[in-house]
Amino acid sequence: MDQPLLELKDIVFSYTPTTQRSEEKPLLNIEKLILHPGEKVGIIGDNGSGKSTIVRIILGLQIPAGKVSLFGKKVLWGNHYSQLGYIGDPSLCAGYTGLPTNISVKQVLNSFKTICGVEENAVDIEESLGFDKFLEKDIKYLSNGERKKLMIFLALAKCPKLLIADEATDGLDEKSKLFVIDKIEEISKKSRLGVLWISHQHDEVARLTDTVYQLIEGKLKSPTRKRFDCKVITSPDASVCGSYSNLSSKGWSEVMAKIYTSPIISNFEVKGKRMQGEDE
Amino acid sequence: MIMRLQVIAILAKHYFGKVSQHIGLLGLFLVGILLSTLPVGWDQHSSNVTFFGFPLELYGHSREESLSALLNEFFSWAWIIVALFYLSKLLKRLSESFSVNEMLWLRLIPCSPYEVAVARACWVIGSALALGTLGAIWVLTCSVFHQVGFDGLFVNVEGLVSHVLLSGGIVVALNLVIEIGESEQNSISVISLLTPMILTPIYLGINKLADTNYTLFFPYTIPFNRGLQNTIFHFGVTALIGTFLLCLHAVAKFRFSHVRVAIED
Repeated sequence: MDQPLLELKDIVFSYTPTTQRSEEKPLLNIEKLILHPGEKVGIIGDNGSGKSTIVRIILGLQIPAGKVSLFGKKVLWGNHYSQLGYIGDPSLCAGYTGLPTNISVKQVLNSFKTICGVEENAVDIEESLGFDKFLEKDIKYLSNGERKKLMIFLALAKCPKLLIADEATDGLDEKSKLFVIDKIEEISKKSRLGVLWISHQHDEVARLTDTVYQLIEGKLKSPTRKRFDCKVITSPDASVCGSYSNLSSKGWSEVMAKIYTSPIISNFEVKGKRMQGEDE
Repeated sequence: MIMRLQVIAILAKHYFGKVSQHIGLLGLFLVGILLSTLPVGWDQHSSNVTFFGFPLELYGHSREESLSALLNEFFSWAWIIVALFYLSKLLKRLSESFSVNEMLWLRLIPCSPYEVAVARACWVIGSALALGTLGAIWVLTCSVFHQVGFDGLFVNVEGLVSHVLLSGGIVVALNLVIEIGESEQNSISVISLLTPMILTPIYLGINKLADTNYTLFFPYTIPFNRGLQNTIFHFGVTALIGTFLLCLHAVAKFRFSHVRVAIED
């Protein structure tokens, strides 16, 4: 058995100080989450359910009770993880979730490319995400979508072993969304990329992961209800196009809504197969 | 544990920023050199130092003493300007280099914690050396132009260098020992900017009370230091302590590592 890329065991976490916590339920109470190379795990949950807190714990920004390890070693804020790719929400405050400020996009890209030695893969991502339009801008003046693109570049250009994505495609245009999903699938095929995809979008999680958990009241719950494996084909290709595992009824609605509202899709086809479980 | 010089150089360059961001500093030194050479002179008849032809009477009796005092005052003003407009920015950025937004992307690239720390130390030491070089050029130009001794003028250059080193050292040391949030970053840079100067009255008080030679090792650095004794020694101690704190910060990072997958595909 491979060494796990990510391991969370007996995690209990709350933002409320311990002294005021006696009767309150913790925000997170995760018994076990283990991710091996090649595994793709999705976590879905409503706003405020603690999805982003899981990411903060994995990155060492919050310290919970329990065991958190990355690549077999305990997570510490001071450690460096070059094989970890992270795409998060950069909208809280300019640069707050990981992008430097007072520096141009070009300067960051140059430093990154030289240290990582990723010239070939980088050019492809740079061109596809349209970096030429904001290359000279200071990072603090980037729009939400542009910051997200930069985070995607930094995460994918180095071909990581583990990708942690927290609402990774929010704020992206249709073309970039399609590219990101395709790129992740491409890296997954080439290497045994482990993916932890966290989102409130059921269809996206079903598209990119094999196992889906729902975060309810701080606990990760495996879905027990009836789902479908689907393949969606559209003409022309749109981001909604692709294979979905364990698509829930909510995910199905989201796929249909995207097809319905997309101005570019003229034809579509869906092929599906019912999986085991109860009716939702 | 391998320390890669290329990675350190890239990171240090990233911290330094563009040369164009330092044009103001170069301009200040050029203006300083011009002001402290051409308009400054000595009036043989009244035995006064002159500035743009106006005699200045409060700067001493001999030519050497008067000119040195005036030139030291120029350096002290330059030091104040550098501290307010350059060093404060450097310390703020240094302090921010520990925050989540500055660190997270660095943590996810193939560099080690101690390489980042060494790059930070190089950034501070490099800035101090750059200021020292500019100051030394200024001092040498004045010394040659006015035919006055080099030693008396150099003390402010040493003081400025030691100010940068100790302030930088305090920032990295504070970031090592206490948990610092986004809001505290600014306070740290202000505290570290003022500390080397605040130490001067403390030294003067201790020196007055204690009858010992150990006060010679008391660190402080301050512009407008005319009348203070053994400043070269105190400024030197200050620079050494600053350098020590910067090195300590790099060594402390050896407890962290660059974690990778144990078995590659």
